Amino acid sequence: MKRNVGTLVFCFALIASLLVGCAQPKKSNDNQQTTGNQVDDDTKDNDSQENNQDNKAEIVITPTYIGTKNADIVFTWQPVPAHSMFSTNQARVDFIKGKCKEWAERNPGVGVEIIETTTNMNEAMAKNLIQLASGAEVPDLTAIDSFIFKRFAPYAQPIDDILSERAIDVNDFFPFIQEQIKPEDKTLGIWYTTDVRTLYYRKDLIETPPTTVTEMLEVGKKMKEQGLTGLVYAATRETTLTDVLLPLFWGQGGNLVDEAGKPVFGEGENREYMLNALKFYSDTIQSGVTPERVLSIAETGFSSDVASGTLAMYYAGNWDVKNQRGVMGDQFDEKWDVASLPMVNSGDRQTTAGGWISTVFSKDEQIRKLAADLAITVYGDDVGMEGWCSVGGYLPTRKSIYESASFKDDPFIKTFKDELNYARIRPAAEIYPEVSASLQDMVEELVIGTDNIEGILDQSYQEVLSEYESLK
Amino acid sequence: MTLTKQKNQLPVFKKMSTQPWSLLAPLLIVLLGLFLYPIIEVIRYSFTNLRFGRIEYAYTLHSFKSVFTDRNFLDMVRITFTFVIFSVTFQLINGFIVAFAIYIGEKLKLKGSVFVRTSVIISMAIPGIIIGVIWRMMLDESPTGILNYYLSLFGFGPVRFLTDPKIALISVIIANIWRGTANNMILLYAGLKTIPESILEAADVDGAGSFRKVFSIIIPSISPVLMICGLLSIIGTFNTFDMIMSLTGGGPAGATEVLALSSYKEIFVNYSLGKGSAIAAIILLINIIMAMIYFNMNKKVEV
Repeated sequence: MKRNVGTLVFCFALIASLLVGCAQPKKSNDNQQTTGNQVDDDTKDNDSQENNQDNKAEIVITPTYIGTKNADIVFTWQPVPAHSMFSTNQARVDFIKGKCKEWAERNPGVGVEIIETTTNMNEAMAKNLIQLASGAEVPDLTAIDSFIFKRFAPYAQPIDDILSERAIDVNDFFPFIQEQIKPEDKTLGIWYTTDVRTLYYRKDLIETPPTTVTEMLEVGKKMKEQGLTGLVYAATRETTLTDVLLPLFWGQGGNLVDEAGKPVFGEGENREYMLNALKFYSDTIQSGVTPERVLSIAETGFSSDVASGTLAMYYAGNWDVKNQRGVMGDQFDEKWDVASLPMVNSGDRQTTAGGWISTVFSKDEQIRKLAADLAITVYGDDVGMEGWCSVGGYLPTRKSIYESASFKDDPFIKTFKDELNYARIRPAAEIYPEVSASLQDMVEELVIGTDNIEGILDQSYQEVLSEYESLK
Repeated sequence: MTLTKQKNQLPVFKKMSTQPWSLLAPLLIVLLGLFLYPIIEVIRYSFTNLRFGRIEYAYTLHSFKSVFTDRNFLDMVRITFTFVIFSVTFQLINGFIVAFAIYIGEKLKLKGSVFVRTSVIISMAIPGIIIGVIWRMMLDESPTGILNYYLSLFGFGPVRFLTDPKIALISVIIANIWRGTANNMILLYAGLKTIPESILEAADVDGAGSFRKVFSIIIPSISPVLMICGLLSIIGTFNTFDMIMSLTGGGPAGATEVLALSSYKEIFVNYSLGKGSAIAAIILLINIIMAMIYFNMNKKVEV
C-alpha cells in the first residue's frame, strides 16, 4: 500500500513538474516576438544573443535569426551550414556573427530568418530546384553549389545594381567564375568561395616539377629508386575525377557532355582523350610509381604519407596546405611546394575548381536588394571576402583580394591564384551524376588491374546514354 | 461511475467500443501511414524514371531494365549473397560460442560473466557508420594503419585489407560479423537459459561427454531459436549498407557493393530515384521471402 502511495506521489510530482515546465513563461521581455517563425528557439537563441543596447530596436544575432526583432521586413536565407553560424568551427562562427551584426545595424527594421539545413546540401538544392520549377516559394537568399548553378540561373535575380553600389567589379572575378555568374548580360549571384587542384611535390628532392604525365612518371621512378613512394592521389569517388581524370581529359580539349547535356565522352575525339586520360592510372600503378592503396585514400587522406616523409608527390586541393601545416608546422613549407597539374600533352594547362554561389531568388525588389547586400557584406566585399576566405581556409574568388594582407605573403597562394586562371568546373548537366559514377567505376577497375579498358569505356558509355535517353 | 458513463454513451459509440476493429484502428492507421504507404511509393517509383530535381516523370520499365542489364548487377548479387551467407553463419557460430561461454561461466559462478556479456553488447550500441570508421582505421594501408603496423613488426605486410577486391570483401564480412555477434548472443543466451537442468543432469548420469551434450542436447534444444536468429540476421544483413559505406564505400571497383548500398548510391548520389527504387524493390522481394519463411518457422515453433 505504502509503495503504491509512493508511486502515485512520484507520478504526480513528475506530471506536475512537466506541466509547470511547459507553462513557464518565455523570458520576460516586452519586445519578445509572439508571432511568426522569427525566433522560435529561445534556449539556443539566448545563448548566442547579442543585445545592442544603443539601438532602440533590439538587434539579435543568432544561428536562426539575425536583425531587428519583430522586424517589418523579414526574408529567408539558406546558407551552407558550414558557412553559417551552424559551423562547428568557432573562428567561422565569430566571423559570420560579426559581419551579420554589422549588416543588421546598417539595416534597422529588417530581419533574416536563417533556414537550418542538414549537412546534405545536395538534397536541399534538389528540393529547391523542384520548388522553383513548380513556381513554389524557396528561400529568398540561397547558397548553390557552383557546378549546378546553371540549372538555377533561369530563376536567379540580377544583383548588378548592388554590386555597383558596393564598388565590386564583376571583371575582378576569375574568368571561369564570370562565365557562371554572368551567363549573359546580368550578374546572377556572388561566387564567394573557391578552391583549386594542384600537384604537391617535395621541393628538396625535385628541382623542377614535371609538367607532363611522361615527365612525372620519370620523376616518380627516380623517387621510387630512392625508397620513396613516387606519387599518390585519391583514386575513388568524385575526388579522383576532380583531382586527376577531368583535368587530364579537359586539358586535351575533351568534353563530357555537349551543349544540350547529352553525354559525348565515349565518342569521336572525346573517346580518344578519355582513353589517354584513363591510361594515367594504369601507367602510374603498373610502373610502381603509385601504390594500389590509393583506392582507399580520401580527399584529405594524405597526412600520414606526407608526415612520414616517404612521399615525393601527390595530387590535392589547396586546402591540403592548411591540413599539412596543422600536422607538420613550418616543416611543410620548408619541404613542399605546389605546381600545375601535369598534362597529357606538353603546353596544355588545366585544373578544376569548385565553390559556392550566393544567389537571390526573391522577386520582391526591396528584399532582392537587402538579400544581395547581406551576401556581399558577409562574404563578398573586400573585407568580407578576405576575412571569410581567411578563416574558412578557402581561396578568394576575386583577384584583387589576393593582394590583401591575409593572402599576399603566403608562398603557396601565388600558385593557386595563377592556377585559377586555368580552372574549369564540372558540367551542370542533369546526367552528370551518372557520368561521374561511370567514370569512377572505370578508374577503380583500372587501378585494380584490367586489360580491357576500351571495352569497359564503350559499355559504360552506352549505359550512360541509355540513362540519358530515359530522361527524355 | 463506469456504469453511469456507459449508460450515457450513444448506442453507436457503445457498439464501436466493443468492436475489435475500433481497437485496432489506431495501429492500422500507423501501419498504413508509416509502413505500407512508403512501401507502395517505393514500388511506384521503381516503375518510373523519376530523378531528384525534376518534376515531370513517366511510368516505364526502364529502371528495372537498367538494373538487370547493368554490367555489375550479377556481381552485385553474388557479393550480396556472399556477404549475407558468411556474415550470418559466423555471427551465429560466434554468438553461440559467446552465449555458451557466458552460460557456462554463470553456472560455474565465474567472476566476470556479466562483464563479458556487457562488453559484447557494446558493439550493438555503436552506429554502423562509426563501426565502419573504426575498422577503416584498423585496416588502413597507409604508414599509420594499426593492423598493418603490428604485422610489420613481425615482418609481414602491408596487407591490402581494403584495396584488394577479394580481401576487401573478407574485411567487410569480418567487420559485420563483429557487429552482429552480440545480437545473436543475446537471443541464443536466452535460448540456453530455457534448457531444463534435469536433461543435462540426466545426460551427465548417462555419462555423456561435453561434445555429446552440446551437439545432442543443447543445440537441438535451442534449434528453434537458432533458426529464428539466423533468419532475423539474414534479413538484417541484406539491408545493411551503413557500415560498408564508411568502410569501403562499396569499392574497390564495386567489390564490396551490396544491393542495399547500390540502392542508396543510386538515389542519393546519382539522384536516380527510379533505379534506386527498383533495386529497393528487389531487396523488398528478398525480404518478403525471408519474412514468409520466418513466419512459417514461428508457426512451427509455436505448435
